Amino acid sequence: MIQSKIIPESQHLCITIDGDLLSTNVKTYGTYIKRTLDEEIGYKAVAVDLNSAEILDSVGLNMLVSLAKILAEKSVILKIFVSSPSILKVMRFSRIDKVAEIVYAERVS
Amino acid sequence: MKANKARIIVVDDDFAGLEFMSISLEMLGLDVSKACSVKEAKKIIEKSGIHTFECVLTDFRMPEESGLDLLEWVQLTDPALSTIIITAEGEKDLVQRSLRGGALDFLEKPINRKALQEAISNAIETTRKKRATANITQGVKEAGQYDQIFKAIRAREVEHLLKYFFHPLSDVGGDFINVLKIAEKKFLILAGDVSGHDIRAAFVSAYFQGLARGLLKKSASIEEIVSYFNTILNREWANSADQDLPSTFPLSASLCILASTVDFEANTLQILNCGFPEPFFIDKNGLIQPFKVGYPPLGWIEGESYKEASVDIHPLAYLLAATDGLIELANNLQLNFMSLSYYLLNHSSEKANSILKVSTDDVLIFKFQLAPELTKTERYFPLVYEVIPGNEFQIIDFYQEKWEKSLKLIFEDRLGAKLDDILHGAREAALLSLTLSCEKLQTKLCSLQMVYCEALNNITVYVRDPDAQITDQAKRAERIEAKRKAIASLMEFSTCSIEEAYASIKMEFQLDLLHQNT
Repeated sequence: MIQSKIIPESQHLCITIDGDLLSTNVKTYGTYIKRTLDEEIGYKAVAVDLNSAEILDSVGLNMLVSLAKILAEKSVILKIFVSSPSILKVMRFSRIDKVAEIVYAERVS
Repeated sequence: MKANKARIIVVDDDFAGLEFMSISLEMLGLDVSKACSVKEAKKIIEKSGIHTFECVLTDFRMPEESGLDLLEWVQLTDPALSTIIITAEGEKDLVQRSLRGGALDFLEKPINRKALQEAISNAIETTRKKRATANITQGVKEAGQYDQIFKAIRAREVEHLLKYFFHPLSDVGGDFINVLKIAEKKFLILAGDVSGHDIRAAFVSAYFQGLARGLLKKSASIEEIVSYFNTILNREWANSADQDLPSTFPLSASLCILASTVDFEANTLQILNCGFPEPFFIDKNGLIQPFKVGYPPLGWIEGESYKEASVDIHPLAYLLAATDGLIELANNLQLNFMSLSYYLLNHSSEKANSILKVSTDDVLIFKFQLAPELTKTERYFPLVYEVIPGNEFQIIDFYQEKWEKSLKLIFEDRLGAKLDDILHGAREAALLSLTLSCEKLQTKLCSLQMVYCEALNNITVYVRDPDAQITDQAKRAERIEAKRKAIASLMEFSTCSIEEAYASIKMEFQLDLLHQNT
């Protein structure tokens, strides 16, 4: 499941993805995100919440990079929130921090 | 009715029934063949070829062979061909047998024209769909076979230096490894992982490999090749991906590349990593060193400037690397990825299959021997590599369980009581490092590695930590002395020492295995 909301105080558009971001759901989520980006106005940053994800595959990573590129054209920054150590590892060696800000908060078990 | 000009065969020993059904079906524009026995039906089908028929309509009760016998023969010959069985009214048991035997449908006598038309129409459509699917599946399988041929490109001179394991998630995949000859004693080990694991990924993979081989022949450098393909993915691929579907999110392809150029004559090693998980070097003493320098995958950032890094090859024995599919699999199985690498590289595919059932991605692992001549005592294989933040001393039990599971995967129960010694030693050494040297801080890291040498029949455990970075000699000496005192208790079951140069703990456990590992 995916949902979004604007946080007026910080001018952030928050997109929350429930679960993993994989090749099997990337198209559906991508369509939703594109529609949301077109409809919403006044945001200066987009925050993608992947805190509930355990798996992020290469197609999912590509989607985040494509999102970062689209936002860069509008001078909007992308922040990605993760709490899975394995996803953080994947993000580190892929060096996605070159195109997006990664915010890691370890999950409390 | 959709299925005009479709060919069907009607089989019935009752002449009147046969004629009725045939005429009814011919009136629908179908090409109808008739047979009054299973033997005759088989002859007709074989003569024209079973692929020319799209439905078999057969009575159940016939002398000699029954409709069920014909159904069985059809299922063996062409499982996609739909068969409808005609039964007498109330023969429920026969209906059940027919359906269990693979019949698509059944018709009860007396047959009415409407029921007959609907059943036939549905049967023909089902046959067509099944055959289309079978063709696609066969095509993908064949593409996969060609895919494997091209992926297995290896310079014969160094084939013996390479060990690899590859398991695609489907019949085709985007992972590959080639070993290409650049000059007389110079070789390029080129490993790659395309995003996704479908036909598209295999296409991008094959395209890149062909391009790389061609450009290398024309003396292009690996940096030029990688830069060129990055441009292709960013400009041509990304632009074409969203032209037809502007309402959807543009999805591009990316390629992770690990290019290692070994020159055995000049004794040099150049490495370029674009998006691969960090590869590891294992030196002749068994120490594992991650190689952390790299770039994002190709297709992400246009205009990226690539430069190979030089590595001192002299102390090195092996290069070990794997795609992220291995890391995901190790996480799913709660194993250390090094142990999983060892297991997959050294066991048969039958044994590996049980582990690979939970794989969610292609898995590629390779180990390349960087020193052409290695003595037996220089041949180490890493079993565990762990980087632990200082604050995780609290979950040392979790790590210990993982190490136990990892070692049992490789040795099963052959370590015997030695397993407890190894785990106890590793745990205590790790705790010492995490509490004393890392000061329980998340920002300070300790690395624990376990390596196995078959010739020496031992497992060596190294625990390294931030003390190695202390430049103040007095402080370093103080820490080393504190460690020396603390590890006294570990001496009783291992050869335990402090490596002054790295301020690290080294423990050697002599094994007493019942059987040698293969």
